Amino acid sequence: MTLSNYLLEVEQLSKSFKYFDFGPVNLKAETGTVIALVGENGSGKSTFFHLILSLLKPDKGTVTCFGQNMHENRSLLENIGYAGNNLYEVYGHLPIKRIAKLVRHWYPQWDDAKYKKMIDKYQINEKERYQNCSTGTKKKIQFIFAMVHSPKLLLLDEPFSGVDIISKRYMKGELLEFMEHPDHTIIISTHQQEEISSLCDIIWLMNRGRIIAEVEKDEINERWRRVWINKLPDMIKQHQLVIDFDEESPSLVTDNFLELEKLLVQENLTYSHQYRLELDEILAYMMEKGR
Amino acid sequence: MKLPISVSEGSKEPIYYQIETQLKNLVISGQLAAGTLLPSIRALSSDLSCSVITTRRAYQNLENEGFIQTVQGKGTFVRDIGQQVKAETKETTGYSYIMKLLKDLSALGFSEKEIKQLIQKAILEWEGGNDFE
Repeated sequence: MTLSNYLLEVEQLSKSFKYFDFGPVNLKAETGTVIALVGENGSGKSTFFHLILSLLKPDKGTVTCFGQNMHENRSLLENIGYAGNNLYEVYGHLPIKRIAKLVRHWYPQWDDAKYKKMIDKYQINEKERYQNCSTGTKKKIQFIFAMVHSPKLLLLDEPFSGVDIISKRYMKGELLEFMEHPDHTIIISTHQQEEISSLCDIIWLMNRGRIIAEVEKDEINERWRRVWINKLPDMIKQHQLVIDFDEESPSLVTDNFLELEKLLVQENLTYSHQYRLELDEILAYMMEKGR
Repeated sequence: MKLPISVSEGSKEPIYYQIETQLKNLVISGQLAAGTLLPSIRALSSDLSCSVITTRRAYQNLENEGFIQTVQGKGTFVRDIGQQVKAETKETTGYSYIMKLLKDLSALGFSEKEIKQLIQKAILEWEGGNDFE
């Protein structure tokens, strides 16, 4: 087996549902990075996680994790932490304490001391039935179950939605600490710009079951700019470097500032100011384009 | 540890370069003493909302220039660069500030003579201000 820089490799992964086609998806997750999986509701993010984890059987394609085929080697799951819906719902009538005992059996490396510590830290009442917990509390329980067996790969499906400010800070702190280990990798689906900004390195953009862009966060951050310009001739408005424009205060949005600067010089135009866009503005433009 | 570094939204300088120069300035001004443990690449990236790819590049450049040193398993530390290098780097940095200022003033349409007058005026006022401190 050759050592690969990629912790997870997905090839030609696809599955058809009655009203939805997933894939084919080809992706590689580099070891030591945090990847944000971003897309509109219903774009296939959760399906992607379920296919990786073999919770769903793909029609086609392979998932290679830690250099081995995921579907043929179920023990690979011991090194993966998954926080998402659909996993504990069937045990919803049970108190959290009982579910923990079940989950414990799945993972030989389950750490009881760590579990107790996290239950206290996130103020989880273990006697409560899972189905009676609020959305945020369920998210915290999923997160704890994903972390206590010290995995190498974390798959987090919207881990912060509904979670209170304090717990969110704790979770972020734990994820940063997790990433201090050079062999660790996180794939996280989220709609929250703040979390993408402070945690992620790479962004995978998903639309209708397909990956429409794989980008380095800082690369798009540097390339996309809003530029205030002395006038807006039609030639500029229609140019492929110009994604959007505003006539009232002559300005434009570009996805390649360096090239735009050259174009402006060529056309004898000048700009007075230029600013980076907010990450969610960039992502929204990219998603609209991919629709 | 939080470093007093920020990334400018309106700057044309690449993010890694902004981090690199600000960190270098903290070292040569003595605000970060030799031996200081710097935040990990991941922690600094999170503070600055950038990726580890960017921060790693800044750290690597500073390491190549001899300002910081990474010790396997322990972290990244500020190196003792010595008085002479410190003074030299300080001068180069100061010089580049002045060059940038001259370029900006020239872009605004000032002539050489006007720039000299303006700088002289500013220095006089600045010295006067300093007397009151």
